[in-house]
Formats: sequence, C-alpha cells, structure tokens
Amino acid sequence: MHTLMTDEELFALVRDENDEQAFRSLFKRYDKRLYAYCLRALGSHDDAQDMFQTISLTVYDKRSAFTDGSFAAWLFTIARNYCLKGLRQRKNTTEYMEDIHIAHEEDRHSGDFLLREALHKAIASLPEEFREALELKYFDDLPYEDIAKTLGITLSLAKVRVFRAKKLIQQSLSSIISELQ
Amino acid sequence: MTNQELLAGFLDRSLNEDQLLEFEKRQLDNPEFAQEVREMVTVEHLLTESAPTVRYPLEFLSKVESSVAAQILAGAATGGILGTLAKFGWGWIVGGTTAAVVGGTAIYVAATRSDVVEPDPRPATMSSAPRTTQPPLVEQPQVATPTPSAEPVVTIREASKVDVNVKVSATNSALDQLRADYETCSTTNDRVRCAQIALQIGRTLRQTQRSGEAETYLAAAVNHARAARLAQFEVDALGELGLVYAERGDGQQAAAYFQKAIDRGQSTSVTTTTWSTALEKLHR
Repeated sequence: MHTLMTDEELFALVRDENDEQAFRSLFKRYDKRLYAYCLRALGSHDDAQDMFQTISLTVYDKRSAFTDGSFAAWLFTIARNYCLKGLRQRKNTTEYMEDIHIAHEEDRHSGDFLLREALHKAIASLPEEFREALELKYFDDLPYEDIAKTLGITLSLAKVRVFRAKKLIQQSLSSIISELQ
Repeated sequence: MTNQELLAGFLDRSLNEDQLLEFEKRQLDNPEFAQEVREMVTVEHLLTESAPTVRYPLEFLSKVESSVAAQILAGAATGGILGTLAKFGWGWIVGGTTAAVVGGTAIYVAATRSDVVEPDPRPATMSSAPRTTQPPLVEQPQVATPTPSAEPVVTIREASKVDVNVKVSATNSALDQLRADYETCSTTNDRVRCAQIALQIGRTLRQTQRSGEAETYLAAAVNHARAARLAQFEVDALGELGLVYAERGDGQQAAAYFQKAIDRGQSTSVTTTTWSTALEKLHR
C-alpha cells in the first residue's frame, strides 16, 4: 500500500498516526541518499554515521514542524544545516577524506577510470555554491524545485548554478573528452 | 535565445520543437558550438553515471531505522495515552475527602515535549547554524498554583465531571509495557531498541522519584547506546544520570555526568544545550 504513496503522504502517517510501517517505507526511500550526502559532506564513515543518526532522529523529533511542501527538500535542508554545523566544528578537514577515496578504489579497473577521476577532481574544485547545487541534482537526485528550497534560492538560480557547474566541468575536461572521442 | 540558453534547455530537455530545430541549426552553422554540445552531453552522461560509489553500512542503517521505529512504537504505546490526556490538561483536586477544586485553577500544565523547539525548516545560509535538537522529554508538570496537599487526581477536563485517577495508572501501565519490551529486546540483543527503551524507562522512573531503579536503567542505556553507536541516546542517558544525582543532592556526581554528556555531544555533533544549562544551574 505504501509503495504508491507520496513521501508527504507517508510522512503524514508517521507524524499523525505513529505509523511505523509508513516510516520504514519512507526511510528506505532516503536512507542511502541521505547517508551518501553525509559522507560526501563530512568525508568519513564515522562522521557520516553519527550525522546520519542525528538527522534521522531529528527528523522524527521535529515531525510536527513539517506540514506542507516537499519532504525531500525539508529533509535535505535539515541534513545540510547539520552537516554545515559539523563542518564548522571540525578543526581539520583534510584527514577525513580517506573514506571517499577508498570508495573509488573499485573503479580502478574500469575503462573510463581516468575520466571519472578527472570528473571528481573537477567537481571538487568547483566553487562551493556551484558544487553543492550540482551534487544535489546528480548525486542526490533532487529536482530543481527541491534544490532551490534546500539552498534557499530561486528556481531559476538553481538552474543557473547547475548549468554553470557543468560548464566549468566541461571546460576542465575538454582536452580529455576530445582525446576519447 | 543565446547558444547557452539553448544548450541549457537541451540538457534539461525543456526545449520545444521550434527551439530544438533552432538548436540543431546552430550546431550545423557553428562547429565550435557543436563540439561544445558534444562535450556537455558527455559531461551530462558522466555525471549521471558517476555518483561516488559508497559502501553503505547496511547494518548501521538498519539499526538507525529500528531505533526511530522503536520511538514511533513507543510513541504509539505511551505517547498515545499520555498525549491524549495532555490534550485535556492535568488537574488537581484539592481538599481530601471533599475533593473541592480550588477555584478550578489548580491545573498542572500537560506534559510537554521538547519538540516545542521547532526545527528551522527554512533553508540555511552557509553561515547559519542548525536549530537546537532536543531529545523527546516528558517534563514534570509545572505548578500553576500553590502545591495542593491532597493526592494528585487527574481530571479529564471537558470530558466528564467524574474524577478519575488516571495519571498514575496510565504511567504505571506504560512503564510495565516498557519493562516488558525491554526484557524482550534484551533476549534478542537488539541494542538499539534496548538503549531507547532503557532510556525511556530510566527517565520515567527518575521523574517519579524512583532514582535507584532509574540509575540502573540509565546506566544500561548508556552501555547499549555506546555499543550501538547511538550518540544521541548516550548523551541523553548521561544527562539523565546527572539529573538523578542532582535530585539526590550529589552535586559533584551530577556535574560529572552533565560534563560527560556535554563532552560526548560535542564530539558527535549532538546538541547538549539541555545539559549545559543543567550544569550552569548546578554551579549557581
């Protein structure tokens, strides 16, 4: 029954009727995306796990605050706020990037490893505002409307940021792409 | 439309038929633009296919799911009863056998949950901090008038003029249910659920002045939470232990537990405002 329900309908059941099964259905829609978001933002599995847990509990504790709009946008807004706080509290960020690099080890034997590696370097070097919008679009699979709400910007600006991010990546990868074509 | 506008629209699949024709024409007329389009399409494809590979800690995700699900179940079991009563407000009847209500105003405020601290659903700027997150707490009722001398009797206001002693029985009933749940989870070694339930039992016992039992359950909650890496529960259990000692008048131990809660919270990005405030009050 829950399969056909929207995120917002499921969350309403959790909030209003303490419906555990609705929660589990909703959780499974977002757990991996939310975890991946935390891992990208914080760079280590330890931190990502602590953050994921905090966000999950917070979303439930604050359930009464969500009354309308997009659940995904609300969830990622909370996640973003907490990750930003976590980053501010951290004294040294460089030592935490190990887990993400390890995660890419499996790609080493794939044919387009170099291109992917270059892509991720290009993404990492993007201005923060462009990178964040791009990752929400392609890695977290959010529509432009939710990206705009999560970042607190207009819809058109969300589109512009994503496009400009892609342009910067294209310029950065142009020589590699030309070689491969 | 400019070339860039057409390109952006093409990548977002938002061009209409006429615009698509114009887009094709410009590529034919301008080889550099055509090359740019090819590169952008490659980037688009790469982005779609190249989300970072993550080794998901599936067991951990499952534990968190169980943890929140346990809260929901507990909310349905206990919050349901107390929450319903809370809608009507707690009342005290003063005067022993005469059960005279003094002015009808000797009302205890309904149990309040900490989620009156609303989260900020608005998008944050890069410089803004997330709003306070608090564990769900059932605070002791606040006295609106001088403390009555009689045993507390709950009046379900608006529902009936018949006074029923629901508060104590409801709490005990919920507590019994929680104890049974705790025994069950102990046998299945579900540390997430054990931590959550032990914390809830410990908190309830503390609020009903059964500090010895409360301490046992809260200490168990700390151990379960630590083993399951549930920072929020661990922080809350440590803070609750601080309250137990504070209520016993052991300020030194209370301060030590509040400090532990704060330290653990700071190392895990869990908000500890409640325990910082408690520690400050203790030092005053």
